[in-house]
Amino acid sequence: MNSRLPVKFRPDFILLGLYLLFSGILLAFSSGGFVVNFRNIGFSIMSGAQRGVYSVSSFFSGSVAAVRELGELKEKYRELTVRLEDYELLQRSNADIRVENEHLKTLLGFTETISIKNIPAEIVGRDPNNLYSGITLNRGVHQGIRRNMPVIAFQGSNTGLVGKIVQVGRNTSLMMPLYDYQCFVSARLETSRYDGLVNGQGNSDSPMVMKYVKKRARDDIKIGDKVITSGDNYNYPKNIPIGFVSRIRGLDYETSLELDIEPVIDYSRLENVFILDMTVPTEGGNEMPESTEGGM
Amino acid sequence: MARTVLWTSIIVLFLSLFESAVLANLTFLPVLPDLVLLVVVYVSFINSSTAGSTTGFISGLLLDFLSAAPVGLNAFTKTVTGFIAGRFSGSFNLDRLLIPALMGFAATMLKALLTVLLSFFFGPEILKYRLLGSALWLETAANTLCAPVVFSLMSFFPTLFTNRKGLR
Repeated sequence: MNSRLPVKFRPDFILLGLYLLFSGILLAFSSGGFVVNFRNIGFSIMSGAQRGVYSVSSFFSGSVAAVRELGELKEKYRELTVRLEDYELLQRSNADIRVENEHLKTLLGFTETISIKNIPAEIVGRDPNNLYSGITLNRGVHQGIRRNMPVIAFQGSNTGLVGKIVQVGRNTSLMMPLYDYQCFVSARLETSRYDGLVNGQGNSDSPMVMKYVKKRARDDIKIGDKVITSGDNYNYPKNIPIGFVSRIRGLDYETSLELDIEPVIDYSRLENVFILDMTVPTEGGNEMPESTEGGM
Repeated sequence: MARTVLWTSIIVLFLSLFESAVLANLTFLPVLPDLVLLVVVYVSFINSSTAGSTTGFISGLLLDFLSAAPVGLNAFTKTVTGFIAGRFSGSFNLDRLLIPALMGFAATMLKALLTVLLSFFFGPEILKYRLLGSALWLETAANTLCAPVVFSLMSFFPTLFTNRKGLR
């Protein structure tokens, strides 16, 4: 009598099945609220390590820059000692301190100009997956960061909304930038006051799209018009600049217009951001002062 | 096999941190090559489907924690990729350039196909590659070009990434 089972069990297939089952369960739960938040635990651990790697790489790049600067300084020092030694060296030190002072003043000024309580943060990492665009910041629960907090940035004379917090670890957090496919912001045209919904296209180089703008607004909208947050639903403060209209699209059979929006902030140069805590009551309410910076 | 999986996990951990904290900050790069995927394909091909699916699963899970993607997405895609690459183990010789490049190309295509399938089953939270989008083809090109380099580098350490018993 043959006692062998008719079905042959292959360990590799069983293992594959188990892994896929586990991945599937994780996928199913990651968008909902499961008792154990795998994402939070994993994010805290991995982003902590990410922060460490960033610090190490910053240290090395800083060291390389310092060595290079040291070489340059030596060269300059020789020239300066030949000419006016102490005087010119002192002047250079003064200039360095002045530049640093200006930078710090600017950052301090930015913090003070925001009426809403804000937490400055630095970008320490970006998403390794090309389809997703999460940005890791070096502030987390310990610094008072919570999910859905809006994030703004300053660049030159421009202030702009850059995204919102979607994941928080102990000392790090994950920001979803405005250009992400899954980011939607209630927006308004600053001059004509028409409302719409701004949505990213997944890439910082592609313009964002403002949808559901009334078709009758066609004649009132011009290229270069500024788009700001409308403050609807209290997700974002009112009047934060988002971008400028770069193209107007409207087909005859559609009931609304679509506008291409160039973001105010250049994401490729983004280093420091400010996370807004809208739960802390302020004198002017959760509203940014009307911006005064120029157009495109 | 445990040794292979352990060393691969260490390499993958390092690579994923390097990608997210260093490479991803180089904003002039239009896309990032999926170095973790290439490591998984290499380890799977020179070992077995069992080692492939295990390393794929662990690598994907590590990557999931660093990404805004839903947890499990990378684990799923890399498990399947590792398993399939492992099934081809020993089927042909791994040369220096052509086969690694082809494997990098095929693995990226498989990843794109899997994201489309998962997006169908799990909804719009899972972003899929667009056939005519630049992201798919740029990443495919990057992976195809990087695969021979990654495979060559990893072949310098045969004792770390090769399963002695050759489990299959």
